[in-house]
Formats: sequence, structure tokens, C-alpha cells
Amino acid sequence: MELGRKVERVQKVFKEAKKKFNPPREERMIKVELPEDEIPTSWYNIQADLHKCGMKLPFPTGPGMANLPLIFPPSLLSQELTKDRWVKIPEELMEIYRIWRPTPLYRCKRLEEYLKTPARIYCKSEYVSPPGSHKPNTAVAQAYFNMKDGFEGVTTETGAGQWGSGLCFGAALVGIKCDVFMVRVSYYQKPGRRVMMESWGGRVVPSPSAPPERIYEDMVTETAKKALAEDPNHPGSLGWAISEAIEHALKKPYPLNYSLGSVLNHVLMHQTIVGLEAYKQYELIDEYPDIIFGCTGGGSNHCGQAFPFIKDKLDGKKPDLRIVACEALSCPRLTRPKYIGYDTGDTIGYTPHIWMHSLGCDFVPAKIHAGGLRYHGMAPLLCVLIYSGYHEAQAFPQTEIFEAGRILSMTEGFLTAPETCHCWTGAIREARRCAETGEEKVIHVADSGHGWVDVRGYDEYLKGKLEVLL
Amino acid sequence: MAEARKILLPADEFPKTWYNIVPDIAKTGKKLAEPKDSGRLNRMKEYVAPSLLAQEKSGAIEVPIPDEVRIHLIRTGRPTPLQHAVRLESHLKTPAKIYYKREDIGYSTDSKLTTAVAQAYYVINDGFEKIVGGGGARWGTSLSIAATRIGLKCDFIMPQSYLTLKEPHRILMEVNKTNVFGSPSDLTEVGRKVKESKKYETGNISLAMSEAVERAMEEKKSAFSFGYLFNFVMLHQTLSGVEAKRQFEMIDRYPDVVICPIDDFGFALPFVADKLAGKKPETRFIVTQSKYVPVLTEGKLDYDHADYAELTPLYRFHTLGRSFDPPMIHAGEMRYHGVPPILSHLVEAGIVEVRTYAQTECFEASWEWCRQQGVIPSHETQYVIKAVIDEAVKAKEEGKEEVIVFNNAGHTMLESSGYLELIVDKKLKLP
Repeated sequence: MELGRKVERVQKVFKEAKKKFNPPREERMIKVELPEDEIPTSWYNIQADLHKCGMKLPFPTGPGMANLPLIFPPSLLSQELTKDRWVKIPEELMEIYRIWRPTPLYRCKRLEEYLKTPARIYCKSEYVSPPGSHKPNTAVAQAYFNMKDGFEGVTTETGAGQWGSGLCFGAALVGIKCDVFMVRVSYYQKPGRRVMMESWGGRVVPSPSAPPERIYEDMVTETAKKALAEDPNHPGSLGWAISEAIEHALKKPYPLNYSLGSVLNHVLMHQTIVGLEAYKQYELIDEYPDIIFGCTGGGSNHCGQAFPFIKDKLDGKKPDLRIVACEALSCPRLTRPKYIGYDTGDTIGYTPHIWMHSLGCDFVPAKIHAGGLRYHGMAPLLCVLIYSGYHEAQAFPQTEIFEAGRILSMTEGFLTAPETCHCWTGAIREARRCAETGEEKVIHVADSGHGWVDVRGYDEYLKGKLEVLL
Repeated sequence: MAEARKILLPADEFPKTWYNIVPDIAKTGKKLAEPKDSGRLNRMKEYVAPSLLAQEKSGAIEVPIPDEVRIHLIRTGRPTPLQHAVRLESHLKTPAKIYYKREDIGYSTDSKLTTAVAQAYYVINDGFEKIVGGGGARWGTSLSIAATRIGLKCDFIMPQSYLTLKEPHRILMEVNKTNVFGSPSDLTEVGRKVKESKKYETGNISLAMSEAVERAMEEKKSAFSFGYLFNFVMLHQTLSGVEAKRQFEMIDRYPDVVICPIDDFGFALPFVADKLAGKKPETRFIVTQSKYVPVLTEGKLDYDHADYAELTPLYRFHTLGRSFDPPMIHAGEMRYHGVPPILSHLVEAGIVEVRTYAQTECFEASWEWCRQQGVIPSHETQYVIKAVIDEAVKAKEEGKEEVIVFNNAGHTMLESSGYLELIVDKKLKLP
């Protein structure tokens, strides 16, 4: 990738300053910040380079295809299918990105000292965004394109609440409405997330539910009635919530569309802004990662950070680069898939059949704290890379990931989300291996969000009540 | 390229000194009142680190920040960006320029980590092994993070009601190996006595402070720590102001209005310095307080103890009386009967204006804010945002292009009690 002039200038100043003052290494290396006008102005679309791995992306099929134009705006559908390598980010959207981007790249020196490892650990911290995760990167983009195509709102489902709060945030900044169906258990378990969503002007209802529990009358759905007929105290699940949101989007009480926070190609593309920033930051300090860890729920966080680096691997520039997707042992789609092939994205079957590693669309995962990783499928783009051997996957048990979170909190000081703890676990294992072999690897961690709203898991872990949940 | 939204300070320009206002205060025509009660002042040496006591009375205007403290602060997210709230400006259609210091993106939930790290550093250097804190939940979180990083043991005593109301804060402290107790507790004599009398069942900050002082005095090698009131706390908290001042130089602007909450006035002090020196006589300073704890307007300016059980010396400040039982407002850090003596002095000298707000109007203002700028502010910061929006609207009416700055001291991810009450019950118990 070509460096902007500004980067060159900063690099030069940086090197001169290094010679002149030679400040202690610790101070120099903690945070690699990028100037605001170095935020990437285009997203990277890996579909342009994917054929280099020797396999084409299988096209989605099935009766659900007919629903797509009804629930997505034209501009996002064209982004989903485009083969252009670079897709320009509109200037108005850049203005919103500037609220929290660029995010810093941190060097985790204290963690290295604790692990006594020669490896260098870097993390790209997405927690500095106002909702505290990587989700707003795509949420503002999706809200923006919906608004541009003349729609007045978006609707979605949410489990633990990260995606719901991200989308409400995006909708608020763009000036459209947002309706969220939140899995009923989480609705009552995580009031903090509800607070965030409603603060940004979203309308949140438990899924499934009926009036009077469902306070907004235009959000009543048939799906909810079906679920409640099965069990009046239905706890709800992500599959049901997706079906409810899609039904709501198909009914269109006002011009609104459905919005998905992961899996789809355009979502992954929006997230590459993170990886492109990280790429520039590594150039500033003359480093390049040897191994990249990211946690994968639907794949958007990990792919967003890894795709710009995978490009080098596909181009043959960095053949030794290792990229690892980290998932929960209780939901092992990538490490122990039930089958690799076509499956639907939701329980009822409104969505098309997508080619992916899947545990089956009726799979009910254990109730682990990392709610974001409890999805039965995976982004097709990532599945193709794994299938063709360009990518690895690892799975971790719940107890080990909270141990990693604890280590991180005690050394670096920040509290990570249970989902993100998965990739930290991978990184810590790798760093320990480096300590044995003496390798000076550069480890990159896709630090996707903070755990301030979901601290209960840590409480259970500290009290020794946490279950392994296989 | 449009004007930058975030003004970043490079790590090598991170301030090397804190600004100490105490010697400069004489420029108001009167010296800062000394604390009284020599007996209790002498006893302070047992439970407060000597270096901190020395800082309390320091005559130097610029106090160097130890290198270790600087490195810890850089590693926990400083320097923080100064951000331009362009979207709010265009939403309000105001000619005013609104800037805010994003203290909410550090590793702790708010700006108190600065003094926490500094205090922990001096405490361990003076040979103590344990730090005992008392106060609100936010202070506890910052202190526990600082103590683990520096390598101190930590006990924290906070009002009983916060244990459930602000549970996530408790969990975060426990993750950082801090023992958390609810006040009134069985740990101390003060706590046991109050518990018997069945008063103060929800607890409050001055009571928690008494208990922490007593525990620190009883246990060997443990030091007391507080995130408010003392001159040295104000000194450490000036850091964000010093940074902001440098950032304003970078964009060639200077604030006309500086707005701070009552519990975090340190941010404004470096700007107060310019006003006292006559460099910027026009700058206005506003401090916000709650209608339910109206210390600065209803409180008496007199000598009073800093804690409930009279273990601390007498300080001269605005006080509602140490036995004042504050109502359960959501801004937990503001439930204290006094204000720092420095702030009291500046209010008395007419340098700082006071604004008093009720809870509901602050929530409304903060919702307007977070739908434009995204960051959901902490309950304490809401009051400031209300004042900021008021000032911006006033500037619009007068057609003045004022530069307004405030310290966005924290976010509300860990404690959303007030927002939740408003969403679920549609109104607040205390309007």
C-alpha cells in the first residue's frame, strides 16, 4: 500500500525525534496514534482478491433470495456483490467516523513482562468508540446508506446488546429511527445495554413478547405469537429474534429496512477500516505482525482487522503470516463444524441459504457469557479462507478465557469483553510458547470491545461459580 | 481537509509538571485559609503519606510529575484527546465553539485515575503496603486499578447502597483484587456505632471517609486515600487542564468559558491561573452542583471537619454540616457535604460562578448530547452538559462566538442507575 505524504512526514519527524531526544523505549512505544486525516478513505473489498486462494465464493441460493431486495437498500446490496477492490467512503460518513477514529494501536508491555516473553504484543483497541465496540464501524455506514436511499429507519435483533447499541448509535447520528428486538433473557439481564440503546433514541422490545409487555404496538409480530404459543415464558434466542426483525422489516409499518451486524460481505468490508488503520500504524513503527488473533462471532471483527493483512498473504508477499480465528469451545463452528455447506442464517428460514461452516440452524448453544459468539454459522468469506488453508481456527473453554481477562486486567488495566477474551487467550498461549522457544514474534490482537456492561461473568469467575460449558 | 475533530497530544509532549494553584491564590487578595486543629493535623502523619502532606502545603507553582507516574499514566490512556463537538454546534445552530476533553476513554471509567496513580505511587514510596480508600464507586474503581498497577494492597469502603446500585463497579474493583466494604460497616467503631443508631442506612461519602480513616489508623503500614477535597488531589487533577491548555495552543484558540462539575474542578485550575495573572481576564468559570446537595449556595463558609466522625482536621470550606444526609441522587460522587477549600475560596472571590440544576433537566440535556456526539455521559458529567448547552444557547442569542470547554470526566457504562430509572418508570424519583 502506498503511504500518504503525511505519513511519510510523520515518520520522518518521528525518526528525527527518536535520534534527538531518545526518550525511554516505554514512553515511545505505548500508543501508536495516527493523525485524523490519515483515516482510510476507502474500504478494502477482499472479493477482488479472493480467487487467489484457489477457490471462488459460493453464491447464496434458496427461496430466501427473494426477500433480499425487500429488506436491504439497493446501495448495500450492490456493495454486497461488488468486485471492486476499493470502495470509497462518502465524506459525510467520514465526518461521523472522525468522532472516534482513528483508534490507537497499543503495545502491551506489561503483559509481556508478566508472561516473560520475548514476543511483542500489540492490540488495536476498538473500545474507544462511544458504544465501546467495533460494531459502530458498520452500523453508521449501514444507517447512512439506508438514509441515503430514502428509508426512515432500520430494525435489527440483538443478543448481548453490542450490535443493538451500535446500530442505535449509528441511527441516532444519521438521524433515522431504530427498532431493536432484544432476546428476552438478555433484555432483563443486561439493563445497561437497554439504557444505551434508548439513550440514542432506539425503541427496544424483548423478543418474543406480546402487549402489554411489548410497549410499541407497531412492533407486534406473528413470529412472537408462534414462539409464545410454544411457551408463554419463552426465554428467546437469536434465531427467533432475527426472524422477528425480518418480519418487521417485511411488514414495513414505515419505510424501514433490516440490518445485520456481521456475516455479510458488506459488513466485513465496512470493518476493514480498522485493519487498514492498523496497517498504517505498523508502517509508522516499522513492524509487521507474524500472527493475528481475532474472536469470531459472525466474523466481522476479526475479518475487519485481518483482511488488509491477508491481502499481503494472498499476493504472496507474506507467505508466513498466520491468522487465527478464536471461538468458544461450546460453539465450535470452525474447529468442529457439523457440516460445511449451504445453511440458512436464521431459525425460521427467511434468509437465503449461505455456504458456510455451520452447526445447523437449529443448534442451541450453551449459555456462555460471550453471547456474541453463540451463532451457528460464520461469514462465508472467512469460511472460504479457512477451507482453502489460508487461515486457522482455535477454540477455548469459558474458564480459560476469564483467566486471560483477569491477567489482562491485572497487567494492562483494561477490562475486556468476554468475547474479546477469546483472542487474548490465543495470544497469551502463543506468547507463552514464544517464551519457551525464544522467538521474537509480533502478535496482533483484535481488541474488539470492553466488558464494562457485561461484568457479571467476571463476578462468577471470581466466586468460583463459573461453569466450563462444553 | 476539514479542521481536525480531535486534537491529539503526542506522548512526548505529555506534561512533565502539575500546576499548583496554592501560591497563586494570594493574587485574589487573600491567602488560602490554613486548616486548623493541630492535634488532628499531627495525627494525619500516621495515615497519610508524608510526600502527599508535603504537596498539600507546597509553595512551588510547578510540581514535577515523577517519571514512573508519567509512564503509568501514558500506559493507561493519557494524554486524552480534546474533541470538537461540531455536531452539537450545528444541532443547536450556535456560533459558540464547544470543546470537550475525552477523559472517558482511559482504562478507568473516569478522570480520577490521575490522582489515584499519583497517590498510590507516593504511598508505596513512603513505605506503606496497603492503601485504604473511602468514597464513591468511581473513585474506588480508579483507586483499585492504580493500586494493582503499582503493587499495593487495597481496601475500599463505599456507601452501603452503592454495593447493589453500582454493582458493576464493585465487580471491577474485585477483579483488581480490592476488598470492598459497604458503609456503615462492622469493620470500624464508627461504623458499628452508626449502625446501632439506625441512621444513614444508605451510607454517604463523609461516613465512608471516616471509616476509611479509622481503618488506616488502626492497621499498620496502611495509608488513607481520598479522591476529592485535598489540595494535593486538586494538584494531580490539574493534569487534564494542563494538557488541554497545550492542545488549545496547538489550534490557536483559548477558551472563554470553562465548565466543571463540583467534584472535578482541577481541570479548570490551569486556566484560572491565567485569569489570576491578568493574562486572560475575560475567561469565565462555571461550576455545577445538584439542587439536592446545594453546598455552594446553601452551605455555610466556615471551618468544618472533612469527615462525619471528626477524625480529620478542620478545613475552611462551604459545608452543609458533616452530619448532612444527602438524598439518593444518581451522581454518587456529588453526595458530599463540602467542597475543596480551593474551590470555596475561588467562589468566595467571585472568580467562579455556580449553577444549580435538578436531575431531570440534566438527563434531558445529556440525551440531546448523546444523540449528537455519541458519548453517554456519567451522572456527574450530565450537570456540566446541561450548563454547556445553556451557555451555547445563550451565545446564540447574543451572537457571540465563544469557545466553551468542559471535561467529559467519565462515561456511564458501569453505572446506569439513573438512565434505567428514567426509561423504566418514565420519571425520576427525585425530579
